[in-house]
Amino acid sequence: MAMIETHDLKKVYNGFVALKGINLNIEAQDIYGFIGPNGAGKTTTIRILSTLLEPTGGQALVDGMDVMKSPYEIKKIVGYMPDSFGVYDGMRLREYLDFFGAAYKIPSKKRKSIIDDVLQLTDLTPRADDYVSAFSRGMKQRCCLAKTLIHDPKVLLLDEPASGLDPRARIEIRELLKTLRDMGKTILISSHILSELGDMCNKVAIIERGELLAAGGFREILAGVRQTREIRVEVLDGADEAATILANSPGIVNVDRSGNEFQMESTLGSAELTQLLRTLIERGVHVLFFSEEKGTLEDVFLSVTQGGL
Amino acid sequence: MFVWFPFLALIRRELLETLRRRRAFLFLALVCGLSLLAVLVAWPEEETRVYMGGFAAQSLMSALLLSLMVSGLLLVPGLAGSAIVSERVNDSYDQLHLTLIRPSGILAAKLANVLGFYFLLAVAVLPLGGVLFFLVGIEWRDCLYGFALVFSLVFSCASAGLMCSTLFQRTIPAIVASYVAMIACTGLPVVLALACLESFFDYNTWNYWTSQLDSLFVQWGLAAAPSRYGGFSMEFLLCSLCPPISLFAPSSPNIVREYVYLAGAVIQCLLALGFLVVSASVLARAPRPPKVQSERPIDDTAILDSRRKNFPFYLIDPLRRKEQISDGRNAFLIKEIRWGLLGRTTSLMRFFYASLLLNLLGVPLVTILMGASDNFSVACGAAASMILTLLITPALLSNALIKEEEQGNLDMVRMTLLSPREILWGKLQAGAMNVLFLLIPALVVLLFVGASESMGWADWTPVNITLYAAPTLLVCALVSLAASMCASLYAHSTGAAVTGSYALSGFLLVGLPLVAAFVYVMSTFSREGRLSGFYSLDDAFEPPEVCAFSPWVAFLRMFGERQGIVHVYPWLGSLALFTLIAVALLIHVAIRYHHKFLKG
Ligand SMILES: Nc1ncnc2c1ncn2[C@@H]1O[C@H](COP(=O)(O)OP(=O)(O)O)[C@@H](O)[C@H]1O
Ligand SMILES: [Mg+2]
Repeated sequence: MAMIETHDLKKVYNGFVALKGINLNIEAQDIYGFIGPNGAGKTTTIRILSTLLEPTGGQALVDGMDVMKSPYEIKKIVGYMPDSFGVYDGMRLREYLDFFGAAYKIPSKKRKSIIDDVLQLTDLTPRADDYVSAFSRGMKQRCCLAKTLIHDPKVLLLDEPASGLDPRARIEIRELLKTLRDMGKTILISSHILSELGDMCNKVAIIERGELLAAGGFREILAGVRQTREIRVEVLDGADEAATILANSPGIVNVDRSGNEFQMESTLGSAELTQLLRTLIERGVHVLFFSEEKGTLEDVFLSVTQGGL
Repeated sequence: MFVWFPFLALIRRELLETLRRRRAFLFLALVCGLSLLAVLVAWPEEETRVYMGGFAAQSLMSALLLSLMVSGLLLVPGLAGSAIVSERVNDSYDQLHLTLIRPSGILAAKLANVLGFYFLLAVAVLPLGGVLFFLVGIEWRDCLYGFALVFSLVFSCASAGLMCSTLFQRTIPAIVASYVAMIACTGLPVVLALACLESFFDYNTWNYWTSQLDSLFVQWGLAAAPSRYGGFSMEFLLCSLCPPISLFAPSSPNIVREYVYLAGAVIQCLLALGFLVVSASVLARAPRPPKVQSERPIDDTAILDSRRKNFPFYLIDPLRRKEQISDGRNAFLIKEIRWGLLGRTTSLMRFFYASLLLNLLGVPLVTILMGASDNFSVACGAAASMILTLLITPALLSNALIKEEEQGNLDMVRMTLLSPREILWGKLQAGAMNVLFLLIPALVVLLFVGASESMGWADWTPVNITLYAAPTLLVCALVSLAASMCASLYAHSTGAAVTGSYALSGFLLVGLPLVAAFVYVMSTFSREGRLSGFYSLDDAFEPPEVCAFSPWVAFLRMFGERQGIVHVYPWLGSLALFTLIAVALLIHVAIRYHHKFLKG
C-alpha cells in the first residue's frame, strides 16, 4: 500500500504557481529521493505533506489520510525536518528533546528512555547536557533529526537534511538513514545535490519548476530515457578477435576500443547479452569483465531535465 | 556613476525597497492626514481673518510645520533604528561589509534612504502648504528657516536612530532606544525639567535666577549677538533647544522667530553630526563575535550550595538541572516560562527596577506639577503611571509571535501535537506574566502615593482615586497586550511588529478618544451651525459618550475640576468597552494565527 500519495497536487502563492500538479506514489519502507534545483517546489511539496501548508488544488494522502482532513492524525505518524530551522536559546539538548517529547504528548515516564534511545541513535549522547545554540551546523542538524525521531514516526519527511554538512557528517547521516529504513520507516528526502542521494535511495522523483519530470525506480527512469544500455567489456587477451565479434553482432553499436577495453551501446535484451558473452568465450577470448554500466543519478538528471538548472 | 560611488547603488536599492513596501502608502496616508488635520484645525475663523491675517497665517504655518515634524518624529526613529540592526539579524550585514562600500558609505546610504523617504513624504504634502498663500503676513525667511528646522530635527533623529542601530545587537532594544533618543533630541526633557524646577521655586526666586542668567549672557556679549533683533536670553536658549516648542513661541523682543529657528537648526545639525561620528566609529570596529553558552548543569547540591554561599542572590539557579515537563501541562507555556520568562529574568528585573524608578519619580512629579492640592492632581499622577507602563508594554510583547517564526522554530512547533490554541495561550499567559513585571511596581507606587497623600490631607479620597486607577491601568495594559499580539500576528519582522504594536496601542488608547472628541465637536457643529468651543479641547472630552471611548480619559474626568458630577458610569462603560475590544482582538488573533500559516 502506498504510504504517501499525491494526486495532481497544486500550490499557488499569491498568483505564483509553485506546484503544477504533482503525482507522487511512495511505498512503505522506500527511501525516496526528491530531486530538483533550487526553487523547484520541493519544500512546498514537503510542507503540504506535513500538513503545514494548505494545497491550492489536488489531494495529498499520508498513510491513506488526507492532509486537509486529518492533520492531527498525520502529525502523529510524520516526522518533519525543515530545510532551515533555528534552536531555542538557553536550552540544553536534553531539555530541547524533552520539550518536543512533551509537545508530542509522550508520557513523562516513557520520555526519558526514548530520549536516551534517540540520543544514542544520533550519536549525541555525550552532548546531552550542552546548549543547543552552541552546536555547530552539523550537530544542529543531527539534533533536529533527533527531535524529528522523538515520537517514533512511521514516515520521515526530510528537507535537505545534509545541506551544508562536511563529507564526514554527510556519510554519517546517510548511514543513519539506512538504519532508519531498516527499522521500517518510510523516508522522503529532498536534495539538490545528486551524489547525496545516489546510493541511498531506491526510488527518485525529479522535479523542476513545479512539474514532476520523472518518477520511479532508478533503472526504470534510465531505461525510459535511454533506448540503449551501456556495456563495458575487458579482456585479458584476444582483443582483436573480440573486436571482430562485437563489430559483427547486430544490436551492438558505437564500439569504442582502448587497448583491451571496450565500451559500447547495445539495444539487446538480457538473454541476448548472455548469448554474446557465451560467443566471446567459445571463440577463445579470455573475458575478464563483462558488465552493464549502471547510469548514475547525474545521467538520469541530465537527460530528464531540460537545463535551466 | 555606481562604479565611482558604490554606495549610490546601495541608496538606490534601499530607497526602491522602501517605496515598494505596502507600508510606504500607509506612511504617506499618515503624513497627509496629519497635515490636513493641522490645516483644518488651525484654519482661522471667519471674523479673525480680516483683522489678524498675519497672526492667523503664522499659526497656520506653525501647525503645518508641527504636523510635518510630528510625522517625522514618529516615522524616522523606527526606520533608522532598524536599518542596520536588521541587516545584522538577517546575517546580510557581513556581506555588505565585505563589499567595497566603506562603513561610512553604508551609514550614508542608510541615512540617505531614511531622509530621502521622509523628504518624499514631505514633498507630497507641499501642495497643502499652498494654503499659506491665501493668508498674507508670512515672511519667506520664517518659512524657509521653519522648514530647515523641521528637517534638521528629523536629520538628528535619523542619525540618533542609526547610532542606536549600530550600538544594539537586537532589533527591539535598538528601535526603543532610537525613540528615546528622539525624545531627547526634541529637547522636551530639558523643558520639562525646567518646568518642574520652576514649580518648586516661587515666582520671585525663579525670576531672580533667570534674570541672573540673562545678565550672564549680556556679560559674555552673547546678548548683543544678533543685535538688530534683540539678544540671547533664557527663553531664546530654551526655544532653540526645543524645536517643537519654538514653533509656537510667541514673537517677542527676546525671541525672534527666524533666529530661534536658525539656532535650533544649527543645534540639531551639530547633534546629528555627533551621532554620525559615533556610529561610523562603531561600525568601523570589528563586530563582536556572538556569545556562546557553555556551562554544564550541576547536579551536585553541595556544589550549588557553595555557589550560593559565594553569591546568595541567585533568584533561580541557572545551572540546576531542570525537571522534566510534567504530563497534562501545556508544554509550550512551560517552555515560555522556563526558557522565555526565566531565561530573561535579568532583563525583566531591570524592567522592574526601571518601572519602579520611573513611577517613583513620575507619579509624585506629575502630582506636584498639577498642584498637588486636589483630587485632579492625584488622578493626573495616576494617569502618568499608566502612560509609563503602556509605553513599555509593547516593547516587551510585540515580538512574541514573530519570534518563533524569525528564529525558525515555528514549523517544528506546528508539527507537534500542540494545538494552535495551546501555542497562543502559552504565549499570552507568558506575555501577561512579562507585563506583571511592569504593572506591580506601578500599582505599588500608586498605592503608596495615594496613601501618603491621604495621610497628608487626613482624607481617604486619594486612596480611593488610586483604587480606581488600578483597574483602569489593568484594562489599558490588557488592551496594549492584545494590540501587541495582533501586531505580532500581522508583521513580517520584529521591527514592523514593534512599530505596529505601538501604533495600534496608540490608536486604541489615544487616537480613539481623539476621534470621539472630534466626531462630537463635528456633530455639535452640524447642530449649531458653527464651531462653538472648538478651541477648548477640554470641553470636547466632557460629554460621557466621549469619555467612554477611553478608560484613562474617563478616569481623569471622574476627578476633573468640575466637582459634583461624578462620571462613574462612563468610566465603567469604557472599562467594559475596552475589555471587549481586547478580547475581540485576542479572539481574532487566535482565529487568524493558524490560518495565516496554512496559506503560505
Ligand atoms: N511563502 C511563499 N510565498 C511566495 N512564494 C513562495 C513561498 N514559498 C516558496 N515560494 C516560491 O515557490 C517556489 C518553490 O519554492 P520551494 O518549494 O521552496 O523550492 P525548493 O525547496 O525546491 O528550493 C520558489 O520559486 C519560491 O520562490
Ligand atoms: Mg527548499
